[in-house]
Amino acid sequence: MTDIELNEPAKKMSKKVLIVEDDASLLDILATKVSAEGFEVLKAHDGEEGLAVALREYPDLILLDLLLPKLSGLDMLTELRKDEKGKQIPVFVLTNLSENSNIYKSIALDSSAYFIKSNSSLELIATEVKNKLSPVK
Amino acid sequence: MLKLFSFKSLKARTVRNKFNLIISLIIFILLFGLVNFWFGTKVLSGIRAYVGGEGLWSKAQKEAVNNLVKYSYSHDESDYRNYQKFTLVQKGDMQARLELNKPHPNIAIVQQGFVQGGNNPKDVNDLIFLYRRFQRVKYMSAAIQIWTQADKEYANQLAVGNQIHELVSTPLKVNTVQARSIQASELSSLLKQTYTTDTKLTVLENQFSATLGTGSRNIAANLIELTIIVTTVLGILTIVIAILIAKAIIRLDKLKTEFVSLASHQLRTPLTTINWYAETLLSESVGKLNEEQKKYLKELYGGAQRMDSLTSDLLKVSSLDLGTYASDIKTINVGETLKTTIKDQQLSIDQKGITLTTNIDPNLPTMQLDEHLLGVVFQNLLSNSVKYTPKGGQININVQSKKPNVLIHISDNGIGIPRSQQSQVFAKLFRADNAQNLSANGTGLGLYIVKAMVQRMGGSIWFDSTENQGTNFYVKIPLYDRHRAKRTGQKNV
Repeated sequence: MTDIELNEPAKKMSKKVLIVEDDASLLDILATKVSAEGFEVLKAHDGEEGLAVALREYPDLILLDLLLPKLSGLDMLTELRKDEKGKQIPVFVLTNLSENSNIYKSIALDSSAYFIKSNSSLELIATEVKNKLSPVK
Repeated sequence: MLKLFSFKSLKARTVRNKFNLIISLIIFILLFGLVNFWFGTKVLSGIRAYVGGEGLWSKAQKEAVNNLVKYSYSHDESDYRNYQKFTLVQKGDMQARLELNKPHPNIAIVQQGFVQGGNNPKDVNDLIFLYRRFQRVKYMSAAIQIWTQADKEYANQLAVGNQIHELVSTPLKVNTVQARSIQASELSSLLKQTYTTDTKLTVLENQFSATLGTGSRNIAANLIELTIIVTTVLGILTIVIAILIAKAIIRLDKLKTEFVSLASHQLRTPLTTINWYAETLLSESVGKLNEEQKKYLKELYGGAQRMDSLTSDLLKVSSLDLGTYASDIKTINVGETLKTTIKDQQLSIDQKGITLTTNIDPNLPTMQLDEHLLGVVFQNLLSNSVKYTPKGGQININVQSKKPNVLIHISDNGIGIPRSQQSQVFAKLFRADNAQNLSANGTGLGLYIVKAMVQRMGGSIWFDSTENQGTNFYVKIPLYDRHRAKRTGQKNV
């Protein structure tokens, strides 16, 4: 796949990105941005839904909030990592919790990146997603 | 009453209430001490005056007897007058006692009596006080009984004195040997009575002094005991309340910090909404914007970014204050951390045309440090220098190994810090006047955070500055510190 192909939106063979975020307005704009980058977006509004979608669809990457209803992001990640295929999915933690303890916990659960939402631009997140899923050769 | 002072009810009181209680207790202890001192002094002074008065009384008694005996031999009127003069002392004291026994004594009569009894006028009030307040107390009541008995004996003696006077002053109807012999025999019998009375009085005088002496010793001992008990109990209570106040203040401070932390977290979500939507609009992916719209949106975006850095600072401060900051100590190269910081700020350095020179000691060893802590220190110090140095200014950063420390020196030729405000530079939420005039943006938390983080690394920070000439900040961090991990709260994953 080339960069040009990836930039064509909603391609059948395009990679799937699951966004788990309970704030509707943030979920909307993030989904818009990620799909504009050519990825298929799956949405989930809480940890339980996120886990269900992840284990059903096995997305290529998950953007995961930590403070979520029903099942927290870290708990969802813990469950996901118990699944053989779920273990392989790269996860970017996207949260406003900046305590180091949360960062260490998510690193321990093999997350690939940790973004403080209010400090991170959509552009930065989108770029990191692209780099992860289709690194420039 | 017991419930009022139970430990539970003490704990449940508000801090203000506890403060009031502690102040009341301290005032009470002081007042108790003063009253105790006043009371003790007055009582003991009264007892001393009574014992002294008894001495005068006793002396007068002896003199009266002597003069009466002399008179019975000399038949000289002047000896009798002397006798009468000495009896006035006892009479005065008796007058005072009889008046004091009345339900509403006339104080003037009492005073006059005591002064006539030879007592020092300055002691009279204490004599009255002791009699009136303590006449039912064991020792005083015993002493008063002895005194009453002595007055009875004194009255007997007066009667005998009168009889002697009458016998001596009345001329014999017939001056015969027989008549003189009868007179001598009567005189002898009266003198015998005088001696008997005098002996009884001497015993009573001794008892009076001994009773008051024992009383004063017991009162002094009781007062000391009471003082020790009351001050110890109240003192302990005061300390307990002071500890409770300290604990409550610490708890309130923690709650406040936790509130700030929670509020800052909560602010971040709406801030993210503003940031991301403004960013999307600015990217023109949803439609073209005219220049004015772009300008306004940039302002909106910039405002949200500043608010975000404020919430980040507040969160850093609260995590430092709460001690919840978890460090990640690794082997790091201080020079590399500095270079990363400079890279992050290169754009604003270039925009102001500032010349930045760095001099990093090539022999600087790697250190065991939390890179994030050091990064924040560099970032805050450098961004301050950039912010407060005019266009075309100069910033120098020097990192040298000065064993056993690494010394970091950041200097600029910026606006400096006014001398009068230099002592407040590291205080929370402080911004110098000239800094506020130059830029409205700033939280006043940067240097507070820097200092706290430098201290966490076991180091120290200081500065010198001249207004309108520039500022030098110095940071010293030990190259090796065994306790660093413990002090910075090494992560526990």
